[in-house]
Amino acid sequence: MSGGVVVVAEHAMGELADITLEMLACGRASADASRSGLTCLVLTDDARPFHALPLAADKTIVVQDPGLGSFNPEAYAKVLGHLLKDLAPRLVLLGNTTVGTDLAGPLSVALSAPVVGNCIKVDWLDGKLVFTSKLYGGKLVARSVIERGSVLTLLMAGSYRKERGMKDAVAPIEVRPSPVSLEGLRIRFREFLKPEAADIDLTKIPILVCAGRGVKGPDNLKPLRELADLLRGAVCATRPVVDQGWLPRTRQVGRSGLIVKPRLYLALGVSGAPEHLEGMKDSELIVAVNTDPSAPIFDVADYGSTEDLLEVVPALVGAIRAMRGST
Amino acid sequence: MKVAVILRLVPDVVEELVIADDGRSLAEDEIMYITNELDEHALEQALLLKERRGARLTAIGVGGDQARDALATAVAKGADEAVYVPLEAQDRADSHRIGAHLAGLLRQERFEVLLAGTQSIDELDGSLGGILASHLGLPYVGGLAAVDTDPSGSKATVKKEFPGGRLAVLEVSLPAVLGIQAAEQPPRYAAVSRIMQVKKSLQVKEWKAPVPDVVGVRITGLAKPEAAGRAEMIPGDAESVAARIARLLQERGLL
Amino acid sequence: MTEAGREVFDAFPEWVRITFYVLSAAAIVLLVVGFWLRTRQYLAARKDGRRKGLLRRIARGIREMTPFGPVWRRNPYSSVAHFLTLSGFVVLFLGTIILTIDEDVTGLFLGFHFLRGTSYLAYSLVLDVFGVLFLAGVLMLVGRRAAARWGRKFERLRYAETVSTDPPSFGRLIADDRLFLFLLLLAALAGFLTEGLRIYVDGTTFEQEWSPVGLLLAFAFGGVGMSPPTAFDLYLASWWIHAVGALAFVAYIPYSKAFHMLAGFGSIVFSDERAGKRLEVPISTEPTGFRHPSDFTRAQILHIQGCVRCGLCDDVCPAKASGLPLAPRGVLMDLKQHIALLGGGTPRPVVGNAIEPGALWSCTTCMACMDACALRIEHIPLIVDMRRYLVAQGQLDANLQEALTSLSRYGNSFRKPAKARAKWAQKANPPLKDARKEAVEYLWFVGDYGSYDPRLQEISLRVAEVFSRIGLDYGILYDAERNSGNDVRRVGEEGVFQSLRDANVEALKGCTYNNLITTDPHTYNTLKNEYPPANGGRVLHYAELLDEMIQAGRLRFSRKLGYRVTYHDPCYLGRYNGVYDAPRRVLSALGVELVEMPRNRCKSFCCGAGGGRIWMEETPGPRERPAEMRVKEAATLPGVRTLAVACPKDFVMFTDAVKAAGLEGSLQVRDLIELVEEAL
Repeated sequence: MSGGVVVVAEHAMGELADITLEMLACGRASADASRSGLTCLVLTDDARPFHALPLAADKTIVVQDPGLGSFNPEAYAKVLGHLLKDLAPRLVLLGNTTVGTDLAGPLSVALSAPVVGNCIKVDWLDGKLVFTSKLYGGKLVARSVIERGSVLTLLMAGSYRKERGMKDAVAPIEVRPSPVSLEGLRIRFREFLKPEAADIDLTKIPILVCAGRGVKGPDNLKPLRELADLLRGAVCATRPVVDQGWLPRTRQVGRSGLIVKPRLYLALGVSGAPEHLEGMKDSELIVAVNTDPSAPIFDVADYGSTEDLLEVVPALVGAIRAMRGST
Repeated sequence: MKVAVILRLVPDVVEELVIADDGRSLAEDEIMYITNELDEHALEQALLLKERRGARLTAIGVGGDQARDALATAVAKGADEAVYVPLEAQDRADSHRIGAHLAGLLRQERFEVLLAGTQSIDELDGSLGGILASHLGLPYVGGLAAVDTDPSGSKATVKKEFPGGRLAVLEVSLPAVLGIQAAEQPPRYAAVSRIMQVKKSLQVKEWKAPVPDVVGVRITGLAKPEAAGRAEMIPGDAESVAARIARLLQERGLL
Repeated sequence: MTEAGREVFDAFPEWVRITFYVLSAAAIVLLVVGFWLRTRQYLAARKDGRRKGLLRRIARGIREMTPFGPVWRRNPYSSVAHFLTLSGFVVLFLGTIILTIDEDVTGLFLGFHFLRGTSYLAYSLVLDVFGVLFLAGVLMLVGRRAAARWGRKFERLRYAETVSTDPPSFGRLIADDRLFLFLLLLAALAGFLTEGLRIYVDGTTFEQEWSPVGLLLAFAFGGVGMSPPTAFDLYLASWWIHAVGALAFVAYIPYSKAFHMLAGFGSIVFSDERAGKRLEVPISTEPTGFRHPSDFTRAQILHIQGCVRCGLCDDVCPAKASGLPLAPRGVLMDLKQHIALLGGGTPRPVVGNAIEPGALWSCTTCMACMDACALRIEHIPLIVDMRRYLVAQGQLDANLQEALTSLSRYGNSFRKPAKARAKWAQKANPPLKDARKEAVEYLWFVGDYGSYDPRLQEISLRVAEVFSRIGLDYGILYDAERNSGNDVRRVGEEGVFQSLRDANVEALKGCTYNNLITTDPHTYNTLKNEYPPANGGRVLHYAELLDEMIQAGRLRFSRKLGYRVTYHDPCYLGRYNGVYDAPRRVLSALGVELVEMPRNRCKSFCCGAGGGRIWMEETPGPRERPAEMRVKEAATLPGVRTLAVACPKDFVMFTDAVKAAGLEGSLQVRDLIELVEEAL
């Protein structure tokens, strides 16, 4: 099945991650455009949860081995290196996550294949693969073309619709043992750490008020909290704000935090770096306030303003109160 | 135990990014170079390791002249040794090229731990750390939020970030390459006068080997993102903006 | 009748004389040893070149000890009490010396006494009068302590809420304070008693001695019918008490607060008019945190030794008022303890040992402490020097770190590109001249806040508007301007300050201009005092410029704003650089009715943003923030609804404070330029 498209699945606790479905959506479109096949590769210690999934792949290969229980970059790279050499695909899709990015480099060297990272779109043009990627914190997009040979790509979350990664029927599944020994690895997975007990589950709150770096300090969170309370929502934050300690990590939205899809997302002082956008771009209504008119957040927001959030928020609180008072 | 940290000099995105006439790269004279943010975290983690385990720390600066400033800063913060790896502007974002080039340098000396930021703001072709590890035949794991080693420097215990904010503990036999996402504490401050003082007396080794002819990915076009749906900007002062937003929320039944 | 004169010891047995000289010798030995220890501390410190103009300095020192010094106006009671005590002490001390010379030098070796006849009469009168003044002064001071102990006044004497490292030792300090006064009081009372008894015993008359008090007392003793033998015994006893008390005091001087008589004077003499305004360059790039005696300058040792813990600085400190862990007096007290331990054992930095970083970071550098200090102690350079140590150690909060990184990289604290600095000016009509390319009469150094903060960009546009309307020939540096560095230096990041200053100086070199103007008092201070002279021109704050324009008739107003306004003197314009009247003349020309706040001019109460605090993580004290206290002060003034400011940080801080204090609607914060525009 050389020349086809391969998706390296990411999964946790028996479920495929959303990114896998998005990759399948992208892979499906690619396979169709190039008239080749789409294979989904799942590496796991237990094949059972993956038996009857209606994936948009033409085939699913599940490699089952006790050593593939949790993500171990060395184990995965070894297994994938072997498999991909056999499959010799044209395009390999990895997630632009802490899983995929660990694998891209080693696989690239092992397979002598280029890597295109931060990818948001894959197109075919006369047998050439055209990639669109984000660079410089989302401020610019880069196009690259791979004319021939295998290429690995890291797909960013939220670039494709995950529904397109599924179809009505179950794709044929093949369960194989690991093609290589997974003894004596230099990396060993120990355990997952219990996450801090979250005071609330942000993914279930319909209105989120997000504090970005533009909030400037923890004391400025007070008006944001007020606004959130008024709207019966919650305050969340971008990574830099959490790193500063202004809010706990359980409030972080983004690639290494939570993915949320609320009815309203108020992005205040948020620049819109890709890692954060991945976490909230599917919100129903996004309103962004940032004094920098070129901030990437305005590309995903529905409404925006370049006024100072420290002025807008109290004014908004007042306006909402007035509105409620009069009804 | 010997630790090395790689510091890449990358364009500062706070400044306006100007695309060069060829439409495929940034206009060189408009670029302000700063140390890649995640490499700053890697440096901080390296310093913590040095303080905890008494390791000897070598800082490797990759880029143009600004890399020398980055090295002076690293030494001012506590690095023991500085190595400068000059690289032309067009190569500085190429992880494959840098990886192959640095592999030559790093094969000369045995480092137990090699730290780099998990990614850089300008790279298109994947993590430097993974590529470098492959060339050196060392294990690699990235996305790390904590690194510690045992006193003898034979293995490292790391905490890796997973999607959803979960952290996992992994054990890595040393030597290894580790990709840092966030250091255990925010990067420390180095007073400018100390950095300037260090700069005066700093002996920097230079890696002068020819750069391998390896290319990661060639960019065919660089452009500002054409937003598929740009936000409708609300005019007026804070009061009018607030009023408009309030009305909007009311229309959508969100109040 | 014997000639008027004093025969010391004449009535006493020989043993008295011998014992007295032995005790004197002992007291003098203790005195000398104590002096030596203090002098050694002084000599171990670094020379600082402040010997220049010594005579002028001494003259200033003498002037400031009188009620004509600056502390007089603010503390009349204390000033009078101290002056009486001081002058009385000096005269009585000199009197004792004269007597000693007469008795033991000229009398003993040269065979004659000069304190005879008229000279003695004059001598005795002067001493008695000054003795009374001295006693009055001491009693006033004692009364003040009693009020502190039992009343609610002068609480600083009780060390109420003094923030220092070792609270229990306040007991020892209070004991020292009281012992000092006690010995003085004892000397005065026993002195007069002894005099009275002596006169009674000797039967001295008015023709022989002009000591009104002594004569009165003698008369009283006669009146109660005291027998001569009793009187003599009492006289001897009283004389001993006075003698021992005085000798004890003499021996005690170098080990106690009494040493301020010398060190305090030295503190004033060797203080620098420009201290604080113009900070000294650090002696090395690696601050040691005052680890060695030579890390202090000699003037600093005098400040520390001279500090009497009066607490005037504490009373005016805005950080302390809002409950932050800083007390300027506490810093001096901690330094006193620290220098006592220096030189022995392993050197330890003062920060983290005697003084906590939190105290140092709380300072807004408003200079109220230095302004209030009777001994001209220079608190701010000490604090900045300790901050330099903290910065070198990397012990600064994350926000400050970000601000300094931003300043270092982009020349502003807003993390915005240098190229965006003049974006606000694009809205100006007519366009602003580029001083880099054209010659201008006035080069306007806009400042960070005026360039990058949206609220203040509005004010900058107004300033541009007014300047254009009065036909001023002015321009700005556009992208070449950097943060002036005033607060960067005061945060302790000397390296970034120097690179900012060098960049600005470089930019200014290429320009042709007559004067520099600025809308930011912080910028004003550093341009005026810490930058090389501006091409022969002056540095003006825009209030000064407007004042000049008004005087010259170039700025005329079409209407008078008839409402009431109060004005907040910015720290860096007022206290630092003495510009109080120019803004007031401008307000007067505007026709507003100026109502002064209780704390005005040099007593102005800082908004809390200075010293880099506006960049730091906010850790508010348990009480109200300084800005909130200040707006409340303004709001108490009857009929005043406008608080006029002349500093961008004041504008920001007070606007936020008005909201936080719930005074929106009753008090509006307006920049001077807004009022000017309204009246044009």
